[in-house]
Amino acid sequence: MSGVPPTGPAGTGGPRPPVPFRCAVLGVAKHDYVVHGVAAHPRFEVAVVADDPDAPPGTHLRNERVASAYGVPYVRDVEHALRDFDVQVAIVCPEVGRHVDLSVRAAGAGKHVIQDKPLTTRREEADRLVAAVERAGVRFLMWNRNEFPGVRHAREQIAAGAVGRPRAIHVDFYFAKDAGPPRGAASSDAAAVVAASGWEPMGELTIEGIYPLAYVRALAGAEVRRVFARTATHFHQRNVDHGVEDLASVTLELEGGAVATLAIGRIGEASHHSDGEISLRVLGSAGALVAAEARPEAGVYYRGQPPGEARQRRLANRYEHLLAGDFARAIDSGGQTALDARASRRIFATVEAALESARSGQPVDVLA
Amino acid sequence: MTARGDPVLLLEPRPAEAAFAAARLAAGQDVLLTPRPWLSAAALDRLERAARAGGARLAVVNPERARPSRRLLRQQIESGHLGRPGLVRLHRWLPVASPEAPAGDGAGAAGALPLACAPDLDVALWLMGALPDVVYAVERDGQTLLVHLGFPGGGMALLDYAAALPPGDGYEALSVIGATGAAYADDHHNSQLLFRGGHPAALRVDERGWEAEVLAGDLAAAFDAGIAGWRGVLAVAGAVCASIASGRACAPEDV
Repeated sequence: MSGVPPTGPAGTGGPRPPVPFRCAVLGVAKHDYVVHGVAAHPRFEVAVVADDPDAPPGTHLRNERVASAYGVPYVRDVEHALRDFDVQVAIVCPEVGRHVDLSVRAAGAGKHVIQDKPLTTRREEADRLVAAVERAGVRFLMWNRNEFPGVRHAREQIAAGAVGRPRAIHVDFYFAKDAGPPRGAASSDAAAVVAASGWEPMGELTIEGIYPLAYVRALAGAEVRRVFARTATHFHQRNVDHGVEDLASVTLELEGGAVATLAIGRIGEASHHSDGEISLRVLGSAGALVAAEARPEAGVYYRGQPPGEARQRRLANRYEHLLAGDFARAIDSGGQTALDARASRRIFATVEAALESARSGQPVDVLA
Repeated sequence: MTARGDPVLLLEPRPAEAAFAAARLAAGQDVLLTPRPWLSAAALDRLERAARAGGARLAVVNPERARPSRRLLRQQIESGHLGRPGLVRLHRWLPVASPEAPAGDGAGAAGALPLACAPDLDVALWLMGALPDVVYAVERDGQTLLVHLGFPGGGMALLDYAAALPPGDGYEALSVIGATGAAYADDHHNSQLLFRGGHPAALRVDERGWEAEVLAGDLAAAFDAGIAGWRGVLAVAGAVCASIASGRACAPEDV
């Protein structure tokens, strides 16, 4: 497939606006923000929504809803959609257990892939994805938050040498959201729900760890080589029932000698005035910076305000636009994306090592 | 005031204070100390022997506990507002040349950083209300120390202590994530802006200056508490040193 943006016919006075990349949306299990984020960019358009016939019934319903919203067909045949709708890009956001399968099939069909997080929960799947993407020579982007203004600003400051060489990076990544009844409430029917729906229980590190670990990677410019972690089910009965963490702390040792820490948790709605404390602290060889991911923001307070409504509202944070733009540039140039398959696999391996460390009580080397 | 006369309060460093404190204790005078870089477990043993010989009382109190932000967070935990503490996170960045920093050239003696961060370790243990059963630590260049604590029941703490900032102000942040609430005390939020052209400067609003008044206000409680609590802190600092040396997680009781 072509990696070059279309140009106008010879003699017409320069390039015409590039034709948008046509996208096949493969499964919309929970997060439709990836679809909307990509589709909002002028270089992309949704051409078809597709899924396997045996996808969960709820997913079929969401798929149909998304297809209807974009006025495109919903096709219960992934290969047919990839083959017959002239698409160049697959947007993959089904249930986590199907992420890699659909991404590998899309890459095998020669399509560039944008995939929702997390990459996977299984090492062999991560390896399979990297192999498929690299064999097909397509571009892969793991959805991430690295383009939020606060993160971008920190990255630019570091790149400009404002704090020298990063020596230590600390990320707080707390989502002030509830996940069902609090710990200690009557056990939920979570296990039955999981068995019926095919959803895989995942803790906060697995679900959200990609985001802060991608921050660390982008800010430090280095990979994690060793991890020590503690985890707990501290807030939510659902996590207790599933035996997966909702709070974790991680110490990271990076290649080149830098260090990092991560505090992550789904800490409950009452624990923050807004979406949650998400901050970056970077200590460099010539200075330091402290940044809030949520800024710029504005406060909104009023009588009768619902408890769950954010008091501090994020502003000017169209990070999706920048991610999609980065992906388009990578397709055009054949260059790397902001978070490619190999980098995503490394982050998966870091989470894997952190969970193993939490089980063993000892630091664990990250398997390259 | 005690039956032995006025106690000696060593709140600020002074020359040869270890010997001075030992002499006062041996002479039967009660001594109250704040944490010092020289106050290792061995030094505490020596002072305790002197106190026993002189029939005097020895106490170590941590001024950090007297700071308004620390007291507020502790009160919120004690009130039950935050629920059971799950994670204490503390950052302290000092300028390289700070008097509080153990060494300005990146060549601090082994164990210097863990002892220097003992007051923050104490705050973490105080807020968690327990001693850790797992300690993991990483030190870099004699200037950066990360301490990762695990507590019985699943609580955890992350301490980030660095003496690596350029000359000027330092930076601190402390947060407690509890089961039903959270509290954040961060210099990032407690800064004022100063405009003099170009980018504005962020001026830290300092909460210090209350410590001596608060500590001196409750000497009886301080002497009742004695040094048992500080021994626990030093045991954790010892585990920090052991973890750095071994690259493994340690239990304080194994050190």
